[in-house]
Amino acid sequence: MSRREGSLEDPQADSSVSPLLHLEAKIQQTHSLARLLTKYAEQLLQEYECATCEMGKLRPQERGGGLSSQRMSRAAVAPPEAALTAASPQVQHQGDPFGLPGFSPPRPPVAGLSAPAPGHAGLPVPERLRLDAAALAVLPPLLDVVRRRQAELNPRAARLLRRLEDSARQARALGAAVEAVLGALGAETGGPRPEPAAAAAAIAAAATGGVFPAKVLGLRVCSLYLEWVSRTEADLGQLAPGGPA
Amino acid sequence: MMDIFLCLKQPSRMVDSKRMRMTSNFQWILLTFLLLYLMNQVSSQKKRTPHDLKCVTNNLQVWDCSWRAPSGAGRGAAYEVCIENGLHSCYRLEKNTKIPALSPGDHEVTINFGSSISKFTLNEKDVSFIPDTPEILNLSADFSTSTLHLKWNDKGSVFPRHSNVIWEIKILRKKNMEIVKIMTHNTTLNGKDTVHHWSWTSDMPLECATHYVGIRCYIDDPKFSGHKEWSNWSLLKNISWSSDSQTKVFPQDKVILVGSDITVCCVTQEKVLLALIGSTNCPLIHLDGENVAIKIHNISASESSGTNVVFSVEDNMFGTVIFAGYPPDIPQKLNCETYDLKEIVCTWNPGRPTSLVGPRNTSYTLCESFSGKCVRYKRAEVPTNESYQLFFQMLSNQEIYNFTLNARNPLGQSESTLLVNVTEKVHPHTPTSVKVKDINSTAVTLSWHLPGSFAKIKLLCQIEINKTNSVHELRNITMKGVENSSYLIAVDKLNPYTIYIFRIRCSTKPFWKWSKWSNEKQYLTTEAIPSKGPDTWREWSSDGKNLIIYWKPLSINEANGKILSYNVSCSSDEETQSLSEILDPQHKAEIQLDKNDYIISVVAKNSVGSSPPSKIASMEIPNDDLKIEQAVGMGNGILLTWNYDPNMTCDYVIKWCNSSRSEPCLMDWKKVPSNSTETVIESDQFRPGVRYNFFLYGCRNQGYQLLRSIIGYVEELAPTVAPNFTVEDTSADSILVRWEDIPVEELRGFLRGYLFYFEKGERDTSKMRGLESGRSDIKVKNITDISQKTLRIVDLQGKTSYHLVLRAYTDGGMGPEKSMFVVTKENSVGLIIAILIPVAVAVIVGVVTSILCYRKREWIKETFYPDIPNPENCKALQFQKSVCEGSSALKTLEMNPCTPNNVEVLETRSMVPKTEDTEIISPVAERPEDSSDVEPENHVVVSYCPPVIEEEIANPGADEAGGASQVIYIDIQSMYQPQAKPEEEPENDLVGGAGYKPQMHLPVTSTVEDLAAEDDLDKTAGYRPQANVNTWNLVSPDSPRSTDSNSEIVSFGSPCSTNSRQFLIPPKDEESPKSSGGGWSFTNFFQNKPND
Repeated sequence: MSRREGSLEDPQADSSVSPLLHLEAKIQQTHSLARLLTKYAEQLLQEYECATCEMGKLRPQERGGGLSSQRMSRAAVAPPEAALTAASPQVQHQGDPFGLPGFSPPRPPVAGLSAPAPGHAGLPVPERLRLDAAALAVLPPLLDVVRRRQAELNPRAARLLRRLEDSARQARALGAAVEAVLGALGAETGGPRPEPAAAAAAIAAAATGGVFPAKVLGLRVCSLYLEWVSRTEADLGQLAPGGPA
Repeated sequence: MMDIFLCLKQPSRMVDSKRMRMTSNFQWILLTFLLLYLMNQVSSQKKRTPHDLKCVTNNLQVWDCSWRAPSGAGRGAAYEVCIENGLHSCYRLEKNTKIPALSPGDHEVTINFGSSISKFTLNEKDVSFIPDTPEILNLSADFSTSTLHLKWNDKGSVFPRHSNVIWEIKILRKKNMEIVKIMTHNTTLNGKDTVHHWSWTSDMPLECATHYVGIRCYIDDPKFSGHKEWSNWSLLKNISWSSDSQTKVFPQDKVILVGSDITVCCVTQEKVLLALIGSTNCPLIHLDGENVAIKIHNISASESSGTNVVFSVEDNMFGTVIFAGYPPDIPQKLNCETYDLKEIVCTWNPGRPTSLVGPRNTSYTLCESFSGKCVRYKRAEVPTNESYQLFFQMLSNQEIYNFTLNARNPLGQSESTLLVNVTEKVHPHTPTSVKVKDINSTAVTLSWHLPGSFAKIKLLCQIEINKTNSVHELRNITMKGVENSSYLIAVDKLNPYTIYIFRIRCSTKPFWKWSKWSNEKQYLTTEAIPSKGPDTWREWSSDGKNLIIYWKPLSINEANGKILSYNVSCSSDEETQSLSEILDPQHKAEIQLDKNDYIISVVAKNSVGSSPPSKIASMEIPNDDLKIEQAVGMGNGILLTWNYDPNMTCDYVIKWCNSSRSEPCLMDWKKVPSNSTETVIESDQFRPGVRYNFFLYGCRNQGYQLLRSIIGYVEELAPTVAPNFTVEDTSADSILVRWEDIPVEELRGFLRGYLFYFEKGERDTSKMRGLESGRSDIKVKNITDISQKTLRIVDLQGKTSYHLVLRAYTDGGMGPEKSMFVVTKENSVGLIIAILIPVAVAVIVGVVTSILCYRKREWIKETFYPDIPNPENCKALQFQKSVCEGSSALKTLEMNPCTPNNVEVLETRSMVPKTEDTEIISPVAERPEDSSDVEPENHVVVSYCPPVIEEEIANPGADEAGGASQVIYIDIQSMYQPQAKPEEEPENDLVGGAGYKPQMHLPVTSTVEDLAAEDDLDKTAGYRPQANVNTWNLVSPDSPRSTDSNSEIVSFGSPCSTNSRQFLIPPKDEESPKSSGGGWSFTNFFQNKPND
């Protein structure tokens, strides 16, 4: 791994301190930030889908990609009163069947943003970080679109709206931090990436098409946010001291 | 035919009645054939001429008539039709003809075809009115609202007059054209072609399936008397949604009313597996292709994000959201007012929540009708029940506003109106910038700022004036509104040197609402001279040389400022002496004065000036008739009363002090007007249980006289200590106790008495608990004479420990107890007496007994130890039988010839010797003490025996008396007596049988004794010797009988021996008290005495 000295140099830092330590500290800080945002992203996803559902079912690795008609039918064939009883104590901002056990909404494509590729882990770390940074740059406007739509649907869900707003800001910060790490590593930070504004416009258009697609799309954006933040955390973990890199 | 008829008729002649019936049938058949023939002829005739004329019309102006052509007429044959309608009109036409509508009535129509002529009668009633088939001009659809719009032309120009038209429209759905709806639509023909519009909203989104529409009409012309019929259905037109290959769900984001029904469909190329509304599975309704729909009935209100409807296909799902809510409620409590006459603020409550939020939320528009201006409400989300408000800029020169508040959402709208005169609905802002300035010590100016254009109206303001420790005061002020919003007023009637807190609120006239209170403004008014002199009192010092002058500090209201010092002066007729200035807070001065009469003057000074002087005379008028009284207060004070005294010209003064303080004692004083006869003395210094001295002075000619001296408590309490008591003296039966007084400080009330308890008890064991519980072993003495200081407790037992308890009590309760244990002395005299008396009694009894025995020794001898006759001299065997069986009157017995064959000893319980049927009466028995006086000639040899005396149970006292014992001699002849009453004693008879019976078997009055005798019989106790006949025979009838307790036979010689008496008594149980106490009491007395 090539490292370029001075890229993370802090002008106020002691000049005697090795720039390498600065780099490690930067990586460590960014990794910690990514780890923290991963927890926040989990909470956001939980809040979005089901404010009082169990945390575990919202883990991205446990979410089925696509529709699980079998599981949904189990929920659906249950007596209506039983289903309502199961759902009633929960605060579901999107309403049933969101958040119900077995409900696995489709994962529509998001313009300008895709889930981490299966081969992501096999890429070189700088490349991975570049992908992470690119995704994190696209996510804030998407999260803003989701927040605006949720403000119409759930104007009194203050916590959800606040989390969405915070998540957009945090994704932006994490993206910048990853860019800084990439710069410190001497890797190119540019490269082809979708224009965030264009992606947001595309998803805004999709979100205005209908409320149900907007709900599904919002869920998808929250899920992607979690996936990319956790992916970033894992990628930075390989650079962090003590990591497998 | 005639042949046939004849052939048929021939056989008929051969039968009779039968034949006749057959003849009738044949006639009918014949007639039928004939009729058919004729009809055929007519038909043939008709077919040869035009026939079946029919006329129809579609516009009521032209009749389209047609007829059947005659046979043989070729196509293109020409007819001449003539109609007799007043104008004999003839037309040369082909088969059909259009003729103008004929007037009502019959018209002759002649149709000539060649040589054949057909005539018809044509009437309007025979004409059918069938309108032309309508044509749909346009069929369009609004997919967002699932509404079909139909457009067609009624072609009314072709109809001569106005007519009502009924249009029937049918809606068909799906490719198999299921009829969904058939509806009618009424219009009127007005002589012009009119295009009609009709709309229909489908319960199913139009995208879900193809919808077809057809129309027909029925013209109801009242003047047309013919047949009116529906037109034919128009050509169907359809609406279908041109879908791409994508799956879609309809309707999208629909807003519907709560409780309504809705159909949701999924247009797809894939097979739909299931559909959910929320979490509820719904049955699928299959439409064309793979399209499906679900129907939701009576939908409930949605959550804010709507109700999700989801269709699931194999590997995907599609959905829509339905928002079920309510139309906006009528805005409630609409109120419009102004704060400043510049802007009107209208508030209202939204009423029932609509369950719709975001873009579907209710929007409000406030419009004013006079000005035509509107404002629209835009807001962020607020809690459901929060009131809404809108601001409307006031218009110049307009006071009356007519507001209409319109509420609208996708489900409907509502409105509320309000007509308001804003000048009467002014709710001013909170006054600000409150300032206070001095005018003088009792007045200030108050200014504040009240924003608003109130120049044309009057303001009503309220000033709250708060003074420390005082009730707040409200002053209402009416003032004219000003343009610059600054207001100023003067507030007077204030107290000098007083801290005031001002605050203001305002309203307008007429009153509508008060503004909120302004912030408080605190202000201290300036000082003024003290309004009065201090309240003074004087006391002579204990040595009587100095006069101590006391005064009370002036109250804040009286001081009018900070008191800096006091000036004290004393004056007499001769001179005036002024003391040096005494600085506050000292409130007393001491002046050395003689006993002359002086007037003491006290003046208080502050920074502004001096108060009027307070004067008091030094002289005190003596009072010899003074008694000390008692009084008890009411907890917080004490009521003192006195009689009215007209001599008291100035005032009364009550001074008081703690009784435990030394003189001169002064805690406080109180002055009361001279016309008063009572006052309540209250002081924060008063404490319950503390004794105070109160002195009532009357003021007379500038001199005070002590009228009453009172000791009292504001509240009595129980004593805190017990009286200290000691035992002065102790005897064997009394204790003398003495106690001491309780100190006043510890008494805490007027002493009402003592309670003295005493009981037996040792120090370690006796616990005098529950003194008031009424224990019977505790004796209580209530000593109400509080002067008593000793108490002698008598009637006590000697050498006994007593527990003594003493406690004092007041009206406030019982004090604690003090106890003591005292042991009384031993009583020696009583002990001596207790020993001597029994000894003396024993000696006396012994002496008396000895004397009695000595004096009665002869009788005793005769009774108990008589001389025993010599059996050899007994002549009993010489009794003659005849003599024995002779007269009962015979008083002497010849013993020789009479030999008793039975001897029985009778028992008697009678105190008096009783002899029944006694043939031989013992003189001894009759006169036991006169035995020595028995005459010799009556002397007989008597076989006697002492009676067996059963122990008297019923009369033991008689036995104890001893002297009542009787000796009964019963003749042995009387032993037969029981046999005279066999039935009365059957058991005894059975047991005893006839003849001599053992004493054990004699009747005994006591059943107990019977039982005892029976038991003894078994034990061989009793009179054995008699039971043993052999023994009896061996000796003699009077031979000694034996008795024993050990079955030993002891012979004592004659059974009549007094010795034998012991053996005649049936042996008793030694443990039985009867055996020891009764019977031979006197003998027993001697025998048993040692045992006693």
